[in-house]
Amino acid sequence: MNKSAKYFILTELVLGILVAVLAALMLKGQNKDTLGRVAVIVRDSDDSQWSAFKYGIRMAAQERGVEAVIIGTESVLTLEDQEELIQAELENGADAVIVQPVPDEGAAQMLAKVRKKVPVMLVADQAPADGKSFALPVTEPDPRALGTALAEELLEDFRGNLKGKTMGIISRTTDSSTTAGRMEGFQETLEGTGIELLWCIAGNFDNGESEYLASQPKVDFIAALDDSSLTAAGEYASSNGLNGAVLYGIGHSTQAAYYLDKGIAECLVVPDEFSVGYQSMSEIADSLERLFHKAGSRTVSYTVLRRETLFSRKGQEILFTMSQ
Amino acid sequence: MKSKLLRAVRLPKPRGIQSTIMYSFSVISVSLMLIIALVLYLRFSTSSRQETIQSTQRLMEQTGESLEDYLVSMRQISDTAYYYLIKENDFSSYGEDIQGRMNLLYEANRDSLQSIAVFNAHGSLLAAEPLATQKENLNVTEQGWFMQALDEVENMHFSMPHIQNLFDDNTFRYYWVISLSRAIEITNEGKSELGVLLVDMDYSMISRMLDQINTSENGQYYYLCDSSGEIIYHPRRIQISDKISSENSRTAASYKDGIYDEVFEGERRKVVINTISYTGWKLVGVIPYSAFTYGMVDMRYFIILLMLLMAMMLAVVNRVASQGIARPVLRLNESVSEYEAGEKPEIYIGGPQEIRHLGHSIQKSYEQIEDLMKKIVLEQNERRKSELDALQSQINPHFLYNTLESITWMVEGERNDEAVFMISQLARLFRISLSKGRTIISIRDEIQHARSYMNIQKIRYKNTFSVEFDIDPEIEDYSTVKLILQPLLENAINYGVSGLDDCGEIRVEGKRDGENILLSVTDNGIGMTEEETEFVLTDSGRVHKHGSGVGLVNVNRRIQIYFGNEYGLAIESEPDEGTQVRIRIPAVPYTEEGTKRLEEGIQE
Repeated sequence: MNKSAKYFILTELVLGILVAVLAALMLKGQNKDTLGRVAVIVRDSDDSQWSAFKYGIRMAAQERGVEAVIIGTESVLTLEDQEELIQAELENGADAVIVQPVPDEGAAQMLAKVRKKVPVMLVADQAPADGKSFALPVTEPDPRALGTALAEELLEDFRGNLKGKTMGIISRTTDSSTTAGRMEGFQETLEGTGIELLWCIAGNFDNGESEYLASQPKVDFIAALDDSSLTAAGEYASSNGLNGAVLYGIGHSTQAAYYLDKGIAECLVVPDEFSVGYQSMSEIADSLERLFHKAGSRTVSYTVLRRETLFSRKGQEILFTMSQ
Repeated sequence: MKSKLLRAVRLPKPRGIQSTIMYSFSVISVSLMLIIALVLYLRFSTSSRQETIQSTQRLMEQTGESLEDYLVSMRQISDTAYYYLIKENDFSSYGEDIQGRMNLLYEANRDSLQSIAVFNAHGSLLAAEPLATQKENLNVTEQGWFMQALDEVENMHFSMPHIQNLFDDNTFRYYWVISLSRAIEITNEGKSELGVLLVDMDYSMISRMLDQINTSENGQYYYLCDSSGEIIYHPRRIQISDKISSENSRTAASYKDGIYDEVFEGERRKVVINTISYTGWKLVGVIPYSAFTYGMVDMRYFIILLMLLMAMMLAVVNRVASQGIARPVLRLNESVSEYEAGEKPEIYIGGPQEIRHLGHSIQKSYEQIEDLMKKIVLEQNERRKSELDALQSQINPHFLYNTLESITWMVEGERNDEAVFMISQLARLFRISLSKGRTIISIRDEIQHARSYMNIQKIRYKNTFSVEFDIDPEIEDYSTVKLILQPLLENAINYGVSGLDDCGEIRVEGKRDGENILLSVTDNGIGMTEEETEFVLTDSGRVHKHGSGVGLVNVNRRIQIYFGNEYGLAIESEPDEGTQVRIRIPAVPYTEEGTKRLEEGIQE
């Protein structure tokens, strides 16, 4: 074979390889409509408290070209349920998971296993309060800051003078690091102010557990540390009253806002759940887009709403996200 | 290093014809392909850009019309409620009737309406649909829509989207509405008073309309703002509110309807503006420049793929074409190379007409070269032979014997002076015959040689003939082949005058004739017939019975070898009249260089 023939064959080979590579790129481009499929698993996903969060998820997914699948869940979600759901979604082709972990000792291990397969983003650090925190990225408002903000509003209302006052605290759980952080922030801020904590109640309040409030000693203030407990307390107060107690709470549902609007709750600290959804999805999209991107934790802000500021521009924006 | 590179660039190695053709074809075809691809791409991208802008405009016009229709229908609801229900009836006596008709109006438009409500100037609710309880401790007079309505009583006012803060329906829901409010005249207990009619439009109607067109994945989007740039709808409304994103709505609000180029936050984009009538709202379409190239990625891939496939095909076509053109040339070249290597192949004759012609020419040239080579070899052989003949003529033993006999006879007869003359003439004869081995000598020497020869012969023949030399002195310094006159003189003596008694005459003449020199030997001897004259120059074997053995043929050939075929001998003879032999040679000056050139056989 002469030199010319060799060059000819070599040229044809190189061109052929380029054609094959290009054709593969074209086919790959045609087959890839979205960046990936992200499963979102949160407890009681149809509840109105997740409206802003889901809106944020949808907005970020739309912007980034991600298919977001919000899995329908019940108000009670065990570790086994959550693991099953995650596995089912992975089998269905989920490329990443955004999950609100259950406050269970085995959750960290289970999610660490999932993390080895796909990117995982937590939307609340629900690790047991006495255990280690998850070694996974979390998008949430700072729990301590939320608790502190709630306490500061209480202090502001009484100009810092809470001597002789009593209070009770209600929360959905006591064993998650999120609740523990809020509790710590709240109690530390009120420490030394003379206010006395008479009781703490924890429960999911789904089946009338809020009735327990009736059996509790009379207090001047009730602090609800999460949306479920705030709406449960509000619901109870709207029909039975709180025996003179003033309700302060952390919430992010229209129901919580309604109790503020009605004057049942005095103050509402609203975590920016839209940002939780938006930023968690953005971070996951980054992970899907860039092979070596390491998702990091993100802290979102919160807003303090009073009855008079509920229909302010900011308040209306918050209500807008909650109403989606 | 640099100069090496320059040399490599400037002086490429000579390529083969096939490589050159293929290289040239490839360069031309690749250049053409690139130009075509570029033109195609530019043409396509330009038309795609125009198409995108036009389709955006069309879409915005349609959406604008839908929005206007919706807003007109809301105004019509407001007009209907006011002119047909409220204005004509007294609230105190027809309150229930008004409420009932409002209910019909609401039910007929409930898909696009949130609520209809009538307030008096103090903010008290007079009627509302759907029926709902007004919130406790609510002061509607502080709400924007209420104040706007009473500030400009003659107009209808569209508010910005807001959360409806009027009713408590125990559903824990908050509605995002756009309020259409107007000041109205209410009749209550026969008294006319000012009030406000509120039609709360469902914001989701507008957002759905715009959501439907905000489905593009290429970054193109549409938003709605009021005349001051306040955003009414934006697909990233919350992100803008949270400062995650931003929008150039203030500038867009200042534009009139049309298409504008702008750079916002470092991004070039086209902005299409469509104003919604009555409200002054601006429907804004934003097309980032990146959107124009969004769908072009596949197009780019496709064009590149097409170019690569064309390149593959062209490579094959170029190779076949270049082979077709180059093959006959290469085969011709191969046969010539073989010829040069000493083989005797058939020169390739084939391919196109030009190559065939070339093959024929080369073959003919080679044949001519071969003929010439043979001729040269033949001439060389003849030259050697003639030189040998000339040498033989120099030492003709018979001539020498006779001469020496004559000298001996003179010495014995004590004719010493004659003997001395004879010997000196013989010496001179031999000196010129030798001429240091040269073949070319001057005419002067040749004439001298002829004189010496004739002096000897005259003595030998006892002066039975006379010799006369008539030589133009001008020609003596020109060149001639040596010993050309001696054979002529020998023939003149032997065949011409030897048989005559004391009346033989030989005349030797030399003169210039233009660029030639003419030497002639004329005798008045017995002459020759025409047939004999003919044979003298063609048949060397028939006419030297008495001569030196060197025929005129030999003399003629020697002249032609050294001077060319146009020179040589010419003979004129008449029986019993005599013979004249003429020698024609070129006038070549006798110089060292001229002699050398003639010796080597290089003719002028």
